Amino acid sequence: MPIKPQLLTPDTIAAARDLLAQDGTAVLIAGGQWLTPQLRSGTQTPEHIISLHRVNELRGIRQKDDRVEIGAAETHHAISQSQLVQSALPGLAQIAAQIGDPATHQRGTIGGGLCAAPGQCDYSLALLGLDAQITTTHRSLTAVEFLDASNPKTIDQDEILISISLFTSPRTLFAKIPHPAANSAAVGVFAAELSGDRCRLAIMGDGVWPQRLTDIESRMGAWPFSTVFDWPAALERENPFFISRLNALWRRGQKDLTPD
Amino acid sequence: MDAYLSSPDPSPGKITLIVNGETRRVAAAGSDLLVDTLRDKLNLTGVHVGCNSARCGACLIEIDGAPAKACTVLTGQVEGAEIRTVEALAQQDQLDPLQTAFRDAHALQCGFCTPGMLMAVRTLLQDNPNPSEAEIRQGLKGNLCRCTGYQTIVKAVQAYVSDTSDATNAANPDAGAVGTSPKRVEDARFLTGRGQYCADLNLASQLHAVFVRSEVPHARIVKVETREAENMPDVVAVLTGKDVAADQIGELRCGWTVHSRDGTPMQGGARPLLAHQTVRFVGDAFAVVLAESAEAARHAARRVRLKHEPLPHNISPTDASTSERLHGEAENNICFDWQFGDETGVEQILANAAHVTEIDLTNNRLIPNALEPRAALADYQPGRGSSVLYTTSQNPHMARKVITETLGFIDEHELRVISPDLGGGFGSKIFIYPEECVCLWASRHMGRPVKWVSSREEAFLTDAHGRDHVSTARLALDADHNFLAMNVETTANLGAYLSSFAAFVPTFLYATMLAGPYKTGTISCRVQGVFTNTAPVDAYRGAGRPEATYLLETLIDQAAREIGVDPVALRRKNFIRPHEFPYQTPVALEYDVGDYEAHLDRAMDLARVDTFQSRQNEAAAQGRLRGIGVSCYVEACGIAPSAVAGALGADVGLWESALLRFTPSGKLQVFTGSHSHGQGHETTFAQLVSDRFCLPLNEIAVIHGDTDKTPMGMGTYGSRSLAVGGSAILEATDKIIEKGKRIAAHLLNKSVDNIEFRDGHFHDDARNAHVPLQDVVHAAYVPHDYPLDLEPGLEASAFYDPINFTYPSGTHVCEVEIDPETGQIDLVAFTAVDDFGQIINPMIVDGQVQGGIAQGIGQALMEEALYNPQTGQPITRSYATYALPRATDLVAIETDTTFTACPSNPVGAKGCGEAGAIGAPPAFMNAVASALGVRIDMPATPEKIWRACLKRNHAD
Repeated sequence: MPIKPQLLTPDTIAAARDLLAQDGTAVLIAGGQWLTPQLRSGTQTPEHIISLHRVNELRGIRQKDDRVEIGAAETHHAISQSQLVQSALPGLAQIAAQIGDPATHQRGTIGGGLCAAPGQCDYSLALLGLDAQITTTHRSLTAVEFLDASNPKTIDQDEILISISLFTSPRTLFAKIPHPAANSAAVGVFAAELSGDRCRLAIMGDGVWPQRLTDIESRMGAWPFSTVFDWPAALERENPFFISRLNALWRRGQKDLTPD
Repeated sequence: MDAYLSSPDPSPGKITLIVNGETRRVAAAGSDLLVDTLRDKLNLTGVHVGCNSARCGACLIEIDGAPAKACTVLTGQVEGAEIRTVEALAQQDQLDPLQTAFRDAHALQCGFCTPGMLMAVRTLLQDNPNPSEAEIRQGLKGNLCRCTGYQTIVKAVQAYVSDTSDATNAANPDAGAVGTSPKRVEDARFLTGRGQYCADLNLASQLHAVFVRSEVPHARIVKVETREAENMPDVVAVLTGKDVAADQIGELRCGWTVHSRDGTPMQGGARPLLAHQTVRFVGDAFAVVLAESAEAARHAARRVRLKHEPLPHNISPTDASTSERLHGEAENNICFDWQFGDETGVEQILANAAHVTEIDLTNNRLIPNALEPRAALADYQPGRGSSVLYTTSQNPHMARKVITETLGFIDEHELRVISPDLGGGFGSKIFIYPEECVCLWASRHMGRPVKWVSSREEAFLTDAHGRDHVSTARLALDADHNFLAMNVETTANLGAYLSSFAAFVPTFLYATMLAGPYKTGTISCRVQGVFTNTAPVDAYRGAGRPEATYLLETLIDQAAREIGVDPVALRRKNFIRPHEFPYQTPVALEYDVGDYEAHLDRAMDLARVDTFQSRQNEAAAQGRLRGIGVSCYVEACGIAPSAVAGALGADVGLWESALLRFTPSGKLQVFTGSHSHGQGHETTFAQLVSDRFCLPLNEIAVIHGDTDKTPMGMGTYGSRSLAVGGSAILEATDKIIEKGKRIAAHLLNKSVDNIEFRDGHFHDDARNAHVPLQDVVHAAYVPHDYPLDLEPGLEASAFYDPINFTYPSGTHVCEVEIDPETGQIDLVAFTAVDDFGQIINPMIVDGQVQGGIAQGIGQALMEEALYNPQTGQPITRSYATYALPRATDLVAIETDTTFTACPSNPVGAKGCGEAGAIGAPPAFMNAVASALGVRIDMPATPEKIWRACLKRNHAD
């Protein structure tokens, strides 16, 4: 086995997909924030590394009807700075703005974060809250399918995450308390009012897999949402600390939305 | 597969990079990490490796103007991109304005994080040329600094942006008087990325070592299977504990013997260089792979298999006595059961006192995290005097002694140990670890140099940890609130092996500090040192003294709460008064001098304690709990009078040395046995002699860290360098002046008794004649007209053994605000007023205080090394799991000093390096307790705070 993996730099998704299919150990690299430490420590020892930095098809932030489609290789920086995201998906822009430090922000990608550890990726909140559709080389998944707590659909070794398409909604609420070391949400909450008075509420955090609280969605009222409601009793029993923090985040986030 | 290959061709030799404005063809593979390519292929060693996991920022560079951590980029991904590293900033030797602002604000100490910091600031300012303080801190969030506490970095950025850098003394390299703050001599090389750290060094034909470490906490080794690894490409050998044993190499032992209360010496804890029969903690090395490249060695290390029989493990100090024995000699895993002070007398007073306060507390285990990982590069050359070991050591001479004694095949005088620039130490680089010994042994085995550089994960697993005490303390007070007696019982977790100073830290460095600044009548302390299946524990910044101060200051606050008195008044009432010095404490030490009310009063003023109530009310109106906490401390520094150290069990003396050598051209070299790794000795020590000789700083060079150059030295720790090493320099200075007087007397035709040295001249005042120092130097080296009975040349050495410890003291005040619903806690203000005696360079002293406080706040706020009690696995083994203070976690810290003259050494200095780490944790935690009304243990995590708030609400 050669020690140094070979770096391949395809220009198209199709080329990248074919390369992946030919080597069962091959790995993809986009922003590198997750993969490079593993290459260094030797927990990943691929024979080929396929860099996606030349694949322009994986870039782009564009409006498609009532959705915004984001290429999987878009960086946190690009997403947070995008005029389109800021106006059509302000909650997503907020999430992106709070991810990582300046360097991570510049290089890390939405697709990389979602493939590496969706359970610790703050974007998962927006995926659930904005009824995202996730497109890969192999399939199309809803956010709920992708993040199904009992059966999460991890992106397979031979699969490439292409884009994430989210419902536009300027009526969102996002708040998080970052983990002191990892910086991802120790407590995170995201709510959105979608067209047709449909509301969405998603939470995640320490010991809490990203999930929609569909029971509450019907009771939370239209944007800017109601002040208080009962969080799931089971969660309150198991993780009262999380719920207390969530409650505070929610109340304050909701208050910020409400004009005095 | 070739059909899909697009350029760059991944085979080495074909990658074109644009680096610092130049197009470079680089022999690298596309998959090589950019950080390795920049360092190894382009020799841009200003790009530092602190973690290789995208978390520390030491390798931060610019790619097309945007910040990027070079460890997260593959070389083939940036072909054609514009790469800029720190090396591009300075033109010739001229610092650029941002580098100048860093130097002027003392925004760097060890220099290891500095290149990444500079690049982070550059990219921050490109997007936001006028950032607020909060925006600056946010912009630095990805860059860890362990030395400065960030405040001076923030100030440097602010000064740069507003073009108000404090260049005082910078333009004038001559300025060097004691008590002034010339800019640091060492900064230019650090700011330009030209510091030389151990990992930057390479030797021709070197092999790379990677250690194979136990993944289980406790097991008997059945067999180490090396065949598969040995057959991997570029692997030269795999050596195991069996090979070490076959060469009859010794074990590493603690350099300090402590005796148990029954008079028996401490038991167990010897550490083989590679585990041979038993592995005792996760990270315990049992084999080493030697290969042509570090990459090959890393890959092969994963193929070495440990066949083992698991043994029961334990990570908890309080369960040690009922757990599987780690070392045959240490029954119940007790290394020592040590007693200090009059236990019976104390118990009698406790039984009859008007009030007794009792607390149980833990002092959380910390991982020092110097940003530069440990490293070694060994070159064994048979034949006298030509073997060299480069290593990351705070005391190279001691390293040489212990390593040669342990290895046996090489004598002390045959080995040269060089400790080059060091990226922080904080105690963790004092000790002798197995790795550097193994490198030298393996170099002899293989006949080639051997290089090892620790990964950050290895640092988490194997650098000696700090603290980890579980204690019960009782304080007896009389009806007037005088402290009558105190009893302390502590279980100290020593880890799996006894590290170099491990027995000394939780005993003599701890119990002797339990008097603090107070007149407690009598004190007794019992410490059980126990073995567990965890990384060895040893001195970390403060070493024993933070543990004692935290316990004492927590106990006093608890007593004040119970009695219902003001905690500051209670302290003040029990202070030792200035007229009571020298003061014999009940715990062996005799304090020489101090004025504790002076710094208490000043701290109360600076911290605006009188108006705290209104700030608390304001916070309460917003539903937030605001608390204020005070701590007072005395520490014993200037370690140490050798006779005292010997009586306490030391195997060594703790003097320090200096050699001063004038060159024939009149320049001065100062060789010191101390080691500088951020403390700025090259400046402070130069100031000492500049002041005496009236020589400009740029005509003085301070040389340290090389056993072949410097006189025997005992290294840097225990805030000893200036008090002990500086005193040796002054004594050598005196010897030179004495000799100079004889030469001057000859030149002036007068008796030596008539000659005085001042202002850089030898004066004969009676005749109003004088001769400049430079003429005397010239005469010493060109002795044509020279005293017949005097040897030529002008150099002198001195060894200084202190007559007493020094006793810095101080008062620290902290304010925090708590959100009771979320448990989030914010540090809102911190004030430190310290008495360090004579200060040579106030700028450097302030930097030491700020950095120490940042580390102390880290312990109180967030840091904690955790092991899973069920599995024995370390939980905190990366920067994603072990939280360290970042720029956004800290605030501006206000500092001041008070002064009492230190009579115990000629410099008059007391030592300042550890004060912050000692004073900050209790001040912070007392503030937390003040906000909550109840005490919690460190670190003050949101969950602990929230639970305390919940309890409080229920109680209401």
